[in-house]
Amino acid sequence: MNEISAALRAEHIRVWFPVRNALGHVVNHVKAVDDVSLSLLPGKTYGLVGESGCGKSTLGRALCHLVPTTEGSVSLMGKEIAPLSDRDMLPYRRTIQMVFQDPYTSLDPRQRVGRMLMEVQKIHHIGSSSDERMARAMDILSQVGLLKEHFYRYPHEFSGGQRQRIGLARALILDPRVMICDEPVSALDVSIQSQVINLLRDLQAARHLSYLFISHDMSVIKYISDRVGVMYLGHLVEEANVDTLFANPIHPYTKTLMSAVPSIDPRQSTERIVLKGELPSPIDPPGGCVFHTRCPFAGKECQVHVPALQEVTPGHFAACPRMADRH
Amino acid sequence: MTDTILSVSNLSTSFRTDRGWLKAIDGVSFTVHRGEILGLVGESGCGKSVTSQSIMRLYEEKRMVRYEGTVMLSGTDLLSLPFSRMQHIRGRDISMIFQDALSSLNPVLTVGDQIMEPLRIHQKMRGDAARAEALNMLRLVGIPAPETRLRQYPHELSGGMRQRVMIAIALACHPQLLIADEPTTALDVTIQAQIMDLIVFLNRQLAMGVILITHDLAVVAQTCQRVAVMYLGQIVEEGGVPDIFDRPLHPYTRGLLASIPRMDGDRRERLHVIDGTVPLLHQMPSGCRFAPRCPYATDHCRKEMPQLRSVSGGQSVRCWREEE
Repeated sequence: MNEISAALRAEHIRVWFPVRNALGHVVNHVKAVDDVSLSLLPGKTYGLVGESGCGKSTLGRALCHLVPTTEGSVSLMGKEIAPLSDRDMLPYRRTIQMVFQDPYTSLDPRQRVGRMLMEVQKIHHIGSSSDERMARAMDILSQVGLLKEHFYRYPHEFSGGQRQRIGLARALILDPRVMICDEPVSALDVSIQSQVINLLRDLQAARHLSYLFISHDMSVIKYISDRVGVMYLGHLVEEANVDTLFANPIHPYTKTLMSAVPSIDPRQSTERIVLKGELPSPIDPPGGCVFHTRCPFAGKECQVHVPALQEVTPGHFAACPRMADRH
Repeated sequence: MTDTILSVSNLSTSFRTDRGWLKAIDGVSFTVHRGEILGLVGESGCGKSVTSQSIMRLYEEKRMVRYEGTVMLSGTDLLSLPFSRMQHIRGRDISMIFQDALSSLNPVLTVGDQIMEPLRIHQKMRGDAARAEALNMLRLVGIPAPETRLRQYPHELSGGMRQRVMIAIALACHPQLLIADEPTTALDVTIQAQIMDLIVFLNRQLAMGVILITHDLAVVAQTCQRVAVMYLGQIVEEGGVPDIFDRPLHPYTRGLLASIPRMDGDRRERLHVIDGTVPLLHQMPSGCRFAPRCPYATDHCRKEMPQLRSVSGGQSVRCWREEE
């Protein structure tokens, strides 16, 4: 992949949280994200999929500098941001913005929407007068499909879908290049979900935005993404362009995820792969391949050998030598 | 029909609020047969949970709630029973499982205690007999190492295991009817698939009726025989699952089915959108409740409310277009 063209490039990211004993000594680490690399291209969407606890949200937050990165480098529009302190990060914050799952808890309940949109600009020194900021705020509201009168309302006066539009407006008013969308439509009803997905696509086309779209919903991921990464227990286990991945999943975990998605066609039932056991703890992940304890195809070598992502066909990476060799 | 377990007719539930009585559900009718899974689908606020909680009479009744209509369970009208009698029905004849297993389980009682509770109350089972039955239930719902699990507390279990425990408690007395209110919404897809498989298996094994309340049409497609689609407190369409998924008649059902991103869909196409949002209960539109969001609405629709009428092949729809 062309290195200069990436809007965001993350390499070998580790996010480990210390586990302390009663005396405050670090005795272990929760390895939430363990050696993950990915690139977001301008105007494209990278879908990150996985189940609860796989580290997808933590990775998203680490890229936004909302949780400290233990190891690895992140470059945003060609500039290194991962080793920066929070203070030095400030000028870059407006370039990378985040949209959260629950638009209600991510908005200040006591602040009118308009005021919030103006405050964000002030912090980032956008606009020279409050009239100018207000005009920009009004403009962004209409771009996300809200009305001018919404400027004076409080978050509780909006429905879930509208709140998510406010969350988008808050992020977009800074004119970012990269947006980290963490389950932005998961809390919404189906009919509202499709409105927000369409809006996300329109905004991307109009502003040439890069999205990291984090979701547990395979159908939404398939619909919105250009490239998809599958995470399991802090590791990226497979990555490919969306059509390739869905047409030809290689990693047993990807296959399992896909087989679990119920079909909307009542006559079509999928042959389901059922995993044994439960998700191991990220404090003490299994040695070898992290998936071997639950993998239906695991052999002896999987318990010892840590599989690296290898390119199976051009652009299609999977961290499972057993499966990759068959292709 | 002899195998009808539950027959709800014209059920309306109103709540007393500052603005007067609000009808959360209005004239809901459906039946559930033995060995059948009926899906009750709709978006937030459509009244699907109010319907199930009214059947169970879970609302505080003193002057705050008003029920109309009948809920017949094997010949008894649950709505006319004295409230205290409902204690004997819940858990024995009808059971319910909820979305959030952790907050529905008692954190200070062991799994075993909680499964034995309905056995003690309804079947007067004691000691070893109750324990043995609790073990049976854990095995039935597919929990590995049931002897250990019996002594554990809910916080020691994973989300999927907790949902299995809740199912074990609900089914301990072999009820005729299980109401599952969004049982897999909080779970991951792989666990969701396992829990749905379990519900289908138990539905056949125990020949009970199941009402599955969900917002997920794909789950309905894969598990239910019949489905009722609710919008703003009313059933707008009802029928067999293959029929409704092949030929949805109500514009709302069509809109819902078209809004979902499909695994086999074309990514370049825009997703279908149902315009507008669900109105608030105290701003109920006159005439057809879907009219303000319906692309086909006429003046007739806005003035007069259509009734749920059966069309062909056991499918019913509440829409003027289908009548004309």
